[in-house]
Amino acid sequence: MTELSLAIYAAVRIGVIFSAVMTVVAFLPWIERKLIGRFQQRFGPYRVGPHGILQPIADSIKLVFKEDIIPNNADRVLFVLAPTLALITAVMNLAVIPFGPTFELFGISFGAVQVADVNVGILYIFGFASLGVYSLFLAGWSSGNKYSLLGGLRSSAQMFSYELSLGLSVVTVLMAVGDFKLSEIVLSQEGGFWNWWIVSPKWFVIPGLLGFFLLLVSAFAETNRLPFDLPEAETELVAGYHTEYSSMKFAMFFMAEYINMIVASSIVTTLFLGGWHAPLPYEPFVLAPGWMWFAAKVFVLLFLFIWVRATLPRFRYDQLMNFGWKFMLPLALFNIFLAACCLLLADRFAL
Amino acid sequence: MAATLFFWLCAFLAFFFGLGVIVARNPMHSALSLVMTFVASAGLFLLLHAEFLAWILIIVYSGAVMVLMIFVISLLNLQRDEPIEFTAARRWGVAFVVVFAAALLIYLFRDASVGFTYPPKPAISAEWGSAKAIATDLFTRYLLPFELASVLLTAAVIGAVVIARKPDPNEINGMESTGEEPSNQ
Repeated sequence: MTELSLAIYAAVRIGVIFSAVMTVVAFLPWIERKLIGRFQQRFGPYRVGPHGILQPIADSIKLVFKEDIIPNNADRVLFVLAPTLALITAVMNLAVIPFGPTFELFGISFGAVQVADVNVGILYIFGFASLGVYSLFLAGWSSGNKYSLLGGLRSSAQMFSYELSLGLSVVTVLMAVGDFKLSEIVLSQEGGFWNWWIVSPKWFVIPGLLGFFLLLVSAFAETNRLPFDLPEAETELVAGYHTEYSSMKFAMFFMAEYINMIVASSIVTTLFLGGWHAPLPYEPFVLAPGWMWFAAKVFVLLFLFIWVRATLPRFRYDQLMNFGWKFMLPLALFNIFLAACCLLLADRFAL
Repeated sequence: MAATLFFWLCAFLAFFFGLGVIVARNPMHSALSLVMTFVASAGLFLLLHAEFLAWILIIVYSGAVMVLMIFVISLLNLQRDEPIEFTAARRWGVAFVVVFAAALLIYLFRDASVGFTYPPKPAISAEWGSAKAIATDLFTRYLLPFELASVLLTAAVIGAVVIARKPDPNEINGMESTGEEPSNQ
């Protein structure tokens, strides 16, 4: 294959994945508002289009035409840079997620539904996640507003604390697979849900369940979702780091948050829920294309995100820090130890 | 072709932001320039086939070390536009650094008159620079330095805990009995 055709294939993959995810991102706020409406015994958006389906379009038109305000106290360069950075770091993560196996369009094979299968795989996502911390922090700092600064400080301290347990919870799966590559991690979970790392008998179930729990909780904290949305706690901080943002800059933070939710759900799916593999390796299940299974699992997790938001109250800040450092981190370290022991035992008895 | 473009992009960014670190008046801009320098250097590492190191550089230095640094900067109430005094000692310092850097550059590029002579590239395996290759090296050939580094880090952690811990109430009572002013802590 020539370099040009490789570039074209890559461009097609980027186009397909990007537009698909952006469509989901556009309608995710509507889904969220609808669901939260149901959780709270009301209808949710209902006026614009049937069942309010056109609400996202109305909202985005409103946001585009709003006045774009930059406060006098703001550090102008960083104020503009922060939302851009938020969106870029979120979108870059989509590049390595394995959405599905090889797909064909008009009889031409375009390779896996994944923009780039990089060697460092999961580290790539951690790298961009750690750069994403800057966007929230800079937004808070550059606004020149006390509430924004507090929100920014909280967000960076929180993401920093939970990044540790996030990274350590992933280590268990990496130990079992022996590779950073996300495609390899998906392939290692072939053949039915009992081979997914969440319940895999290869390490006697427990490290998988614990790791899944740790990863999920850390993912909630990393995406600043309830019950971990301290950076934008409206009862204390107005709106936290995005208090001063309006118009498209605000919309960019909003989009970044939803993309991060999708990325977090995709990581959990890839690592613990078998990626694009069907839950049962038999005839009716394997007929559906892999990306559909992936999307189904991601939507279940997104539903969980929204469900938790509608159900749980917010943590207090000291509770958040104590939980992160005194519960999650030791548990994650213990889980690595446990997983290593289980893997050695399983190896010994050739399971 | 693409690799060359990528190299020049990363090299230019690293240089530009490296300059920004020392030129920027605002310490926050300075620190952020350092973050960007790390990111650009990670790009150069990628070209050297050292993907693992590149991402470790981003995760550890841009993601962890610099976040703490910026955290501290934002909590210090900084005076902007503090004038820099050019004392005689500073002038000599600057002169020394300039002469030293010039000498270093002349020494490094003394072959430049006859064109750059790059050493021949050694053949590398596909494994090179991967986490597996680095781990194998770390846990076999460089095991002792690796373990020593971890001992050093443990010592640093213990030191940090000792500095950050709340003073023992008995200790304060002892100080109160000897000192004139009672401390509030």
